[in-house]
Amino acid sequence: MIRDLLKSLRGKLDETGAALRTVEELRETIEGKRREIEAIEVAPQTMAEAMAAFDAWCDRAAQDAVDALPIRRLLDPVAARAGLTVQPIARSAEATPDASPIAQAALGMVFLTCRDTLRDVIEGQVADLLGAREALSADERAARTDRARAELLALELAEEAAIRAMEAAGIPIARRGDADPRALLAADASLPAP
Amino acid sequence: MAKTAPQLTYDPARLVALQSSLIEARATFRGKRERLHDLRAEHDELRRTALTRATRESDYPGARDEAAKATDAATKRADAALARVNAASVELSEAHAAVGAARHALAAALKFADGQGIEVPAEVDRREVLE
Repeated sequence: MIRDLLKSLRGKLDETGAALRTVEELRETIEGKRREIEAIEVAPQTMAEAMAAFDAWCDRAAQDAVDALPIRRLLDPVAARAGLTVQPIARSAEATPDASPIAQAALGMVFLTCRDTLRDVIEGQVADLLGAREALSADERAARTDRARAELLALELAEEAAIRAMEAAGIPIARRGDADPRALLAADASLPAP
Repeated sequence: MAKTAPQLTYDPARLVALQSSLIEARATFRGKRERLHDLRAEHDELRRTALTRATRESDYPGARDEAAKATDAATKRADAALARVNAASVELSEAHAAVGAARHALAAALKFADGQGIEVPAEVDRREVLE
């Protein structure tokens, strides 16, 4: 009789250990899925998108530079002698004047005159940086993030189902503080069968 | 594994269950804190006993062998008590972490319920999630 009781106890301990291991494995998988989502979110964008960003920046800089040039001055017979010189902005609180308008004008002119050359250089640098890394377009990133998040939620629901099953069996187990509240509040019918 | 988010229905009663888990975790923590307190007192007592025996050993050189044995035994009991204190300290830390996790879980669930317009049952006391 004692042997049977001990055997039964051993069986229950084995079951408890297996249930705890299941929750532990689920938690490790959840952690892995979170890392996967982080990796998707920070994965580099494609060469096309990188160069589109470069082109947009060039367009904006060139446009701003032209807009900021004192072109009207060229029509003034006296002031035209100063050409299109851009002056730094003197600020009373600063010891040195703000030279950024000059730098912006110069940068804009560079983009207007030799953008293709600069673009080739930048494209080569971006290609080197990308190397063998997986690049994602905005659509691919959104789709993969959505899919991974759905998988993460499914894992969290499975974990919650396991925890409730263990609680029902009289084995309390602490929930994670960062558990998804959707899983915590899900009705039993919304959880997968443990 | 699901590829798209499933349609979920929510059960407000889960908030009550989460609150119960938090209350239970706090009770466990208090129990473990009291046990640690008791074990520390026991260890202090055994350590004093061991020191007293060591002092007697030096006071009565004639009975040195017997006194040394008694001192060894008392020291071993004190060391065993210290091991129990250390184990209880670890358990107390785990219980403290469990309280924190349960509190965060309930707080997140309450915030989510508020955002979703889920009615929070009257049994749930929002003060439970305060530190």
